[in-house]
Amino acid sequence: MREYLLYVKEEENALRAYITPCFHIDKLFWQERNGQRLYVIGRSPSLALAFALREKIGTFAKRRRLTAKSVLEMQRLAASYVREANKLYVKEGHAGYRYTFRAEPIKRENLPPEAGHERVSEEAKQLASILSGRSLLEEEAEWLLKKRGRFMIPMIWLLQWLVLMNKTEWRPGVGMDIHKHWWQRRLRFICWRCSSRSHLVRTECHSCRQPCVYCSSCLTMGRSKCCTPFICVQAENTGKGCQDSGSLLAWEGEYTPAQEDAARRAGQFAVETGGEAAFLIWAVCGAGKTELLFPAIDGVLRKGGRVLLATPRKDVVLELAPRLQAAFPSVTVRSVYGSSEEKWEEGDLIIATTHQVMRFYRCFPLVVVDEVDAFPFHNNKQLHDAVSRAVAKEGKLLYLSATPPERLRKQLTGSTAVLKPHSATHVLLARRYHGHPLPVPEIKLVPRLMEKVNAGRPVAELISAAGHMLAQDRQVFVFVPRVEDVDTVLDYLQGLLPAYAEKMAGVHAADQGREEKVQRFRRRENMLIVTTTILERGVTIPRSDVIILGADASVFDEASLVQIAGRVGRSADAPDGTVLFLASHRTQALYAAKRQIEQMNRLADKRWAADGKQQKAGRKR
Amino acid sequence: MRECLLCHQFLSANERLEGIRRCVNRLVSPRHYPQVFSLFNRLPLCVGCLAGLPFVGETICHRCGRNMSAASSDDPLLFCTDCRSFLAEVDPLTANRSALRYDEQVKAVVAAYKYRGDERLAELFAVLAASCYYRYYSGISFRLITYVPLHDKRLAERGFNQVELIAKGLGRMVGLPVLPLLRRIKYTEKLSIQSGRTARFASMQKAFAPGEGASQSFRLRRSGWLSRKTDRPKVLLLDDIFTTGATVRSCASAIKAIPDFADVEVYSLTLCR
Repeated sequence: MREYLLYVKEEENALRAYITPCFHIDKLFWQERNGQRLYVIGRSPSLALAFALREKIGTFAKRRRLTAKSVLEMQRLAASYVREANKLYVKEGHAGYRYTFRAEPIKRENLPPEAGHERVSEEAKQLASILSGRSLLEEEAEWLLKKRGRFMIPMIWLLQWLVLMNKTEWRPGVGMDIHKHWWQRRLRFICWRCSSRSHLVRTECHSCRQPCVYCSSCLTMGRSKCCTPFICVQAENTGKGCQDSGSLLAWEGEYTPAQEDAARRAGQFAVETGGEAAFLIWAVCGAGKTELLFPAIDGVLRKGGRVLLATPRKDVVLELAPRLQAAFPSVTVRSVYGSSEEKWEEGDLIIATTHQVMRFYRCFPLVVVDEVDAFPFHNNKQLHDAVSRAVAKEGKLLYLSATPPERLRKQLTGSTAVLKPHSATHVLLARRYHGHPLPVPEIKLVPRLMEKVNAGRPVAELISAAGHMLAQDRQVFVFVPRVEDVDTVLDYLQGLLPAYAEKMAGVHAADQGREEKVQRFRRRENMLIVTTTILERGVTIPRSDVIILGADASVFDEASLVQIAGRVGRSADAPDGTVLFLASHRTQALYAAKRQIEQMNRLADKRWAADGKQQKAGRKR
Repeated sequence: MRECLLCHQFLSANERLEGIRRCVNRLVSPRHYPQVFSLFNRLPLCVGCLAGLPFVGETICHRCGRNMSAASSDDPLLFCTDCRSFLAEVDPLTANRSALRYDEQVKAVVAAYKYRGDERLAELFAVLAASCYYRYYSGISFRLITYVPLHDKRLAERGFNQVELIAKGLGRMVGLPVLPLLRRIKYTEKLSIQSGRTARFASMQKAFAPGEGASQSFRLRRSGWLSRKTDRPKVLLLDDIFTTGATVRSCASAIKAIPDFADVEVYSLTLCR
């Protein structure tokens, strides 16, 4: 069973506390440096306890000298802390193992012959280059090292060497501290990997035989526990070393003036040293967002840095990777998601799902966050923390969305009400690539809408609108709030529009055949599709219209309504369309969404009125 | 806000009681219904997942508890093809019964518990084991429960013994003491990788020895003058998956090899068959 030692070292006028799993490595390290005295306070199998004690002793030891009295004092402090931790652990209802912290003297440990100073620092350097820029649990690091190289010296010794050289930071997977809470003190745990404070499960751990806690939020990526180290290795400067060798961009398309402006601003932001740390590109649906990133990515790659693109879902990763590879043919592009084979490979342009971002540590000068308002980013502080952790020191964060959340709007655009076209921290792209305005939704209020639909009584607004659209040979999306409504509404429409009954289908998230149905819809075999919000993003169907049935439901918030309205009119040859919101009563979201779309259109008109009709629209491939 | 253990959706109260009622009625006799109902009720499991659990059906093999399709013969004691070929041999194990059929879905859940280490599932498995106990073993009076041990190295690596947690839960629910009668002395490869009945049996040979609980044989002796000393004492052995039965059979022989336990009858309860 591995034990972690807590010792103090004399430095200048103070004492500093260190934790190590292998004391002899520390002795070797300090011998070379300045050979000062080290004194062991104690040892414990629980890493979380050792770190908590280091905090405590650290504040005590700041202005003391190494004397017998101060050592005794520190030991006593440690012992009382451990006693209190045990008491609290039992009080919170968990019997079983107790924290132990032994203050025994250690026996002399002989270094094995091959662990000389040179050997250790040599292998440590090798290890640092394999793990550079990653934040991993011990077991993940072991696995990666086994794949990449052979080491004579145990990994944990090499990591300790790197920690002492300040090239690596480590923490327990789940940290512990005693927290003053109202009138009592309580034990508080935090998972350092995913920064969550809830969903932490107590367990009787046989590996450390101490009170041990693991994190169930990031359990799918391995168990983060109190007794396993979580290692963050600093990134070395990788990159192509191709400074100023000309643009790496091999993209043939062209920008509209509006896109040109936005892309230029983003590019400027990305390569500027110092200056703002975060930037928002607020581009409406169908504006060609991916292409806007090219200059920024190009700029950073040319400076020798790496770029990370974080997206919510695996299918977006799969869609973007070939496009980016085609645009930057000489750059190594890696797609990283749960089941990807290349997730441990090195690369200069990495496209990852949000959970995989947790495995990176301060190694990207530019991180682009796509669809920052979509699930799972939405309201998830842990994922935002993980993304901030992946940005290099003084790196830049670029947010990309059509409907950014309130918080970001306030932070980066300065106000939530007035839409400014650009500033130092944002740019607004209000026009689609083909230059036509966004279709403005029409809101119709039908009292007792859903009751009528459920009872089978015809709702004139719905039937006439759908009939009209189908008669003009346009495809129709019908959005409904809940999964249960899909079948009801499908039957209803098939009954009341029998001419088109075979050409109708319904999908929802748990539907097995949804891929198939969406394909049929794309091929125009189905003309009308009844769906939940799963189709609200990412789908492009030319010549289509949208009806939202029950648009007053809470699942349709402002962002969702704007995204759904953005399904219409995306292609250059059919830029107009109808968006119909049918609701039984008014909600804020309905009118806010309509207002946002109208504001966007006005803004776009104002800025580019001089241009007249756009020539050479930038194509979205 | 409780989430379902399996699908992580919000636990809604609609039809949950009805679903549990139906499930428990199918599984146990009315005598044990209240206990098992309250166990399932306290479990954070949603109606959909509960209905989807592949419980072992009505017709089972008498020896190994495997789920079998409706009997073609009128033989009251049905045996599956595996057991039929070994009918003549002396079996150290008296019988085995299981809670679930081992299909793909169950495989995934057990993997999440065992390999990923999601210990909250221990509660789910303990309740399933209790339902299996009440279904098949209610008439048998066991003296104690024991479980298949892990090798020390494997235990330090994984941090917990998945079967031990289930056994402790089961012991708490049915009121029987749990003792580690055995320890594993052979560091075997994961049985899930080995294929073939003979290979598994070979690796399990001499893998177990008496553990720390073996010295507490006083638990075997029933006190009081009413007890019928002629009855052989019965011990319940717990394991997670029964594929060929190599593990539990080897454990049963090892238990019988302990001096004080020479004449016990070893019944086993496995989560999956």
